[in-house]
Amino acid sequence: MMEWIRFALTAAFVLAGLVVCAIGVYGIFRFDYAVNRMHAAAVVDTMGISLCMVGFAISAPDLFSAMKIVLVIVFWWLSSPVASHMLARLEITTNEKRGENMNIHEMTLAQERLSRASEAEIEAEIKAELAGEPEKQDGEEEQA
Amino acid sequence: MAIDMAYQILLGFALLVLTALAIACLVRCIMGPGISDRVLSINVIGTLTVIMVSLTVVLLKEGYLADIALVYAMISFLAVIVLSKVYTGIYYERKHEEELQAARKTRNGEEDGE
Repeated sequence: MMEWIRFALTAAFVLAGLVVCAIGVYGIFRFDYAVNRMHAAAVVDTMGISLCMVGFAISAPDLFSAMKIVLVIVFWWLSSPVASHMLARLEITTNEKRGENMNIHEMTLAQERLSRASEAEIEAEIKAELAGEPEKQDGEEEQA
Repeated sequence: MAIDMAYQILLGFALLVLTALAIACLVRCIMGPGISDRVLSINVIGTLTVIMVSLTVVLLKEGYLADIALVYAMISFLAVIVLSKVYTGIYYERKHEEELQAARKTRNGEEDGE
């Protein structure tokens, strides 16, 4: 009887987790911009994985592996926000038409510019690189 | 005996659904217009794979597979971080190259004018 109660709990948690995962993956197709998609993917990363893992931990073969499965949830909850943050930074940095899809506070853009280098530094760097090149090579490149 | 059968049916069904979701994510990864869409799909595929590996702990009754799930979670996290960093660096490098080209053009133009 005890075994069947465990099975019923596992089935309930795993099926709920699968439904949540399916909703998340549907969201990845439903939304049409990367940052919106990130919002849908976070559903899989938090609720989906934790429901499934709790279901598996209930009917794991021994206590030790159940604790390791719980450790996977803890690690995922710690690492997923960091990964999402890096991904959002990649999107904000590389998408040049970002203003069309979302409102970015001007402060964010100013901070991003400062994190590279100041404008004067970039200009100085370009001048230094140009000075190092022989002049004839540039002309040949243009002719070709 | 009946309980083993019930577990096999439940977990087999779960495995099928997770595989279908992972394939759907792969399609999104191929379709995705930008690089961040692709990295995002890779992240979701990693999550689904960790769930699948943990499922085999219950299906095969082998405790050591939980370690594999833990290691896979770490590798998946590292992959997303490294890919984001690398593509940000590539973007900056390309932008720098474009600025260099523009500066070269203006300098050559000035010389021709003189």
